[in-house]
Amino acid sequence: MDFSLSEDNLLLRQSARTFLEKEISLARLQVPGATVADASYEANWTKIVSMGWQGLVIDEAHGGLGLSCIDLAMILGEMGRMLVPSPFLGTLFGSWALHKGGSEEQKKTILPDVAAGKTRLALAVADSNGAADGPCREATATRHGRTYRLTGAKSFVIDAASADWLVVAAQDERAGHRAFFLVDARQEGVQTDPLPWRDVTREVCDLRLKDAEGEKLAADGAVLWPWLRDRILFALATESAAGAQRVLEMTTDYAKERVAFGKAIGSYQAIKHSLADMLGKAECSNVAALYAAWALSEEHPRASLAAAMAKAFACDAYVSAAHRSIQIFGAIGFTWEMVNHLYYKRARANAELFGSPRAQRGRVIDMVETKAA
Amino acid sequence: MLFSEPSGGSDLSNLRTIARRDGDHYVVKGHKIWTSLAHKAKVGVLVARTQADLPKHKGLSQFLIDMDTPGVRIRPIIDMSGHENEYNEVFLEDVRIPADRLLGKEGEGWLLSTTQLQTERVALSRPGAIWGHGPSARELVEGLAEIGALDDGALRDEAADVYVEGEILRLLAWRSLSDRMNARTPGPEGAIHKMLAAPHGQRVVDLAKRAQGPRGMIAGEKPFPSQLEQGDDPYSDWDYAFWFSPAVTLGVGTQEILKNVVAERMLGLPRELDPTAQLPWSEARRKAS
Repeated sequence: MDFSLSEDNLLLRQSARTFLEKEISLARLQVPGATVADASYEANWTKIVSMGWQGLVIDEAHGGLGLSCIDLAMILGEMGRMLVPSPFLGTLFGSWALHKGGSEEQKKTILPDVAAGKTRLALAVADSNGAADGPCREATATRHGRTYRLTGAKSFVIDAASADWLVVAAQDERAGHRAFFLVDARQEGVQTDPLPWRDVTREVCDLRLKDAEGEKLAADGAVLWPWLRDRILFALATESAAGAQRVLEMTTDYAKERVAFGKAIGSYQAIKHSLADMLGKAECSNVAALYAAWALSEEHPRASLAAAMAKAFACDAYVSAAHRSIQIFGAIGFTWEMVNHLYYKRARANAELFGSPRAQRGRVIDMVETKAA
Repeated sequence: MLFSEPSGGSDLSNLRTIARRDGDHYVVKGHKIWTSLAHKAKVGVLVARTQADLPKHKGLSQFLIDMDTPGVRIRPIIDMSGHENEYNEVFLEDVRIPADRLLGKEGEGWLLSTTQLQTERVALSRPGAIWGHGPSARELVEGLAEIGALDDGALRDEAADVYVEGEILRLLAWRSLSDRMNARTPGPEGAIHKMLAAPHGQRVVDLAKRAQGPRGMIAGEKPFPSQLEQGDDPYSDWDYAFWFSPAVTLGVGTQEILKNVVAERMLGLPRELDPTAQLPWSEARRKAS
């Protein structure tokens, strides 16, 4: 592969950066005690829709742009860099699930409206202990004529409260395995409760289902989930790599300005070396996330490995950079008015969702061993 | 390469070996150290001071020197691995070098040396643990699997971490290559790659060693029975690679110097002030002593 980004990629990234720097502000979240309700979710979504980004991964036949994971990485990275609070990620995950798993009928019903910015989605897979790989222990689906009835609970559902439609993983009682269902979020029997989530740039919810009507997706859950998981891990890795890069830049700028004992703190090796380490890890995160983007675009045999490696490395790097950044800013970096904690909280949330770095490393070594055997 | 001197490795431009012009020759007097393969080489590249009254970076020149010239004395250095020597001290006692063996022009020694070091750092970007040579993280994981060490959960996680790091460093090296092929200007990426690759290599050989338990302290003991050494690469011997590995964060720029280079050149952080940089070298030398 060619590891250098094309001119088109760079142009796309630059235009996203210019747009977001002009349009997005975290100011309302920098007020002590702010919650995701202050995050301008709706206003930011309107801006995203004006750019058409909600249709990036939806194929052209269903009104989207049909772009690759590399193109997506350009936009998603920029959103991660700015911590843009919006229901983009939930809609992206839901779109992927429908694109890969939906019947033609299901796709036709939902995806064109998503591409047009009229419908938002969320993907509910995890149990209350965070496990996302199934089987579902807390939600079941029972057949009811042509449709299913879903009952139980899902946890850590990104953007559920903003969603019009949900893709829900539940245990198909008759089949005895996990399947995915398309559920109208606005029906009685679906209750979404936003969690007091520390990362206030993102809406994360619990979901309660009581005889909620759902339609089974066409794809076998055991086939759909690995495909979907690779992309989710890549998305979180991409956000994290870009976030780590932004934290590095912010902290470097501060180290050049802040003076102590007559010189910029960035001239002290304790700070300098720490920032050099941060740059090393940011570069590695970035190249790992881009490799995953490429491998997924090509449906390469190493795509799963690449996505797991990127998630493991970039999330660890982001957490450590964001933590280090608070230290380098000093006590001011520990206050709510600064953005440092917003990055640190996003970093920690990204690390824990859909399998921690350690869990991903476990998957990596399993894959390497299996290949070697 | 006759670069480093006993008086200072990182502060290379402060070197004390003097080359004095004498008719159509230069006469060299000084003491070099860490000269790899000096005992096998026919010709060396020597950096020496040709003008002591200029600031330290400016008065240096490079020469090609025949290693069998009278006055060149080579003494092997046995490093902590106890392996047959790779490095040497080279004593230069009134060594006469013909003036036409000057590389470039007089005073260009520093420029040539830094360019050569950058290239040397890029050349180190292969995946092997010891400056790009020897075993990589892939062989580590294969070996650990072979001896059943991956059944230990803590070791398994560490092995996975080292493996991921190794794969990413491969990608980083390929990206530098892509950038070159796409004619993008090469930055100081050699420094960043070495800054990452050297401690990574140490982790690779360290984990193999720890997986051996006390057997790892037996000289020459192999950690992974089925892995064969490759004849021309001494570092393919895991035991030697491990005992040599402290050197990889010292040679071709210590880890601390590389972090300065990365922070200053890539992040634009303020440069460390060298109070001797602008003084004539001879004056700085007098003040220091």
